[in-house]
Amino acid sequence: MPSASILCVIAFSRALTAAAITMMALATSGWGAAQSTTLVGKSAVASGAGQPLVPTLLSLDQSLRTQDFTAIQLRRFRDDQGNVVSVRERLQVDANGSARPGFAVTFLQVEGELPGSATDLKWQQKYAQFASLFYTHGTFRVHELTAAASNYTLHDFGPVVRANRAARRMVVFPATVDKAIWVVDFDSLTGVPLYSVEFDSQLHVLAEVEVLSFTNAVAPLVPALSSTTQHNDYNTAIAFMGGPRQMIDPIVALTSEYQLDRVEVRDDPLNGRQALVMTYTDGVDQFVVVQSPGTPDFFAGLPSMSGGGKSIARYRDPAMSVLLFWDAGVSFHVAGRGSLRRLDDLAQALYLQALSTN
Amino acid sequence: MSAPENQPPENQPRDRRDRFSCLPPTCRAFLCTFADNGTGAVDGTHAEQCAECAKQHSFQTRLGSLLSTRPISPELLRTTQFAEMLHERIIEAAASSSLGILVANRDSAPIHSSAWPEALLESEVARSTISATPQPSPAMWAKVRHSIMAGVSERRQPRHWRRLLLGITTAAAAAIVSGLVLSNGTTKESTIVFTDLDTMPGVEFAILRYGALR
Repeated sequence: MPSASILCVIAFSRALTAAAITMMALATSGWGAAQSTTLVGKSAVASGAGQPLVPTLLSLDQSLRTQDFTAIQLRRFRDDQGNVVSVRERLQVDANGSARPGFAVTFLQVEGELPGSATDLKWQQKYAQFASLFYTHGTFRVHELTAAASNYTLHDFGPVVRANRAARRMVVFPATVDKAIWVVDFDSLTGVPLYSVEFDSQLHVLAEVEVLSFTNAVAPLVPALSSTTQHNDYNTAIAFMGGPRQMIDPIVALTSEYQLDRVEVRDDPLNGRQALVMTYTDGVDQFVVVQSPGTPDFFAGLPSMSGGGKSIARYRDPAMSVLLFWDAGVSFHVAGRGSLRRLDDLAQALYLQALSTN
Repeated sequence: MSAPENQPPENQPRDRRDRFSCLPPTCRAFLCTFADNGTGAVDGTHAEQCAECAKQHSFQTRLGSLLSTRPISPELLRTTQFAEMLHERIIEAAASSSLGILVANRDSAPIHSSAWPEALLESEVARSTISATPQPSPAMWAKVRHSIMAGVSERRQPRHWRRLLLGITTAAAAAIVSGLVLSNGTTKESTIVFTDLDTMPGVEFAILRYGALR
């Protein structure tokens, strides 16, 4: 049991880090074509009905389930050279009382690029195929309230103005150092994030989304054709896929604070191959375990594989960890944040589970 | 002592005997002739025919007389003064050696006194030495003997149990090890290695983080 002095030190260091993050957010909030933020004076803006003055995880979860809105926002992508690409998109959310509201993400343009340019067309194609990922995995959300309350703490940094709306700046601080830190400006009226930036433990910016305009209403959404089907559990998904063998129900005991969030079967539009995607969340952070049956061994022929050797390909940078391996006709990959190094052990455990199963 | 080649063959060194036995009979007879005759006349016919034997005969003729007589030492070496000078030089060399230095620097040994010092004789040590200790009673000896025997019998029993326990443990360990060695395992231990990639793989998470494949 840590002593009181140690707890004080930990709390102080967290507050210090949160303050540093806030200062960085203030310094970077004028990036690109975003509107500058101003700190409101001493009097706090009255919050909307149903929203507390200082957001809580509960209020954020409720907002996700109940609030319709339409937002024009900039999503900024960074590469390892520090280059930033800002993509303007429209996000429409049609709440349905559940943690998975109806939504639509529409590509608008790439900032600084002419419509119809090669870059513009490339991003348009990407959005056409993967836009749903940006909302389900690339935006700050409370995926699971109880887990989020156990694994994160909220720190209030006062009122701000974002997209000409009163907002409250909060820092979402993880309980462990191998997860991202979030600075989020929540709309005071609706609790919807109007600005979110993701930092790693070294305070490097990993992702950023900034709302430019916001309306708390949404036009009726036209159901779009989706290559993704959701299922309740692993067995249901396997049955949907035709019962392919050599697939496993992952045992993720090594990441005990993460729980299964969703089970999906995705069809690749290029080759028609199906993949079982299982997403795990600790309330805010996520990682995925993807299994694709009927794939060739991408390690075949490598010298390391001679003599029955087993290998896991690993790619890691500050933003992303991806681990790939193959067994008995099934390719596996585990993907998550770059700082979550426990994914190495998890991938190894899943590989051993697959080997023992087959 | 005569030169080896003048000695009878049985007294010569082995290598010489081996070489001698390898020679033809005529050569052996020739060599034995002037070995016996010293520098006397030998069979000249064989010497004319055999170059090796002729060379041996030539050596014998020129060196034999010199080797047979002991040379006279110089007059200086036979004087008394030379012997004394040699003696002094030997002593000086020994004195300057490590042994000589050690002997010269040793502390003088205490003079052995034939009598005990008075202070020691009047000390407690002397009194206890000269006074006889009282002998324990027979009853005391009996008690001591009984306690010793009791201790021996106690140690004998635990030792027996320890041996039994050790034997059981050894047998169990042997059974376990043999079971592991002889049994076919149901699972094969796999060694998994991580291979780091330089380029980002084409997975959806990469699209999520970077928007497009680099």
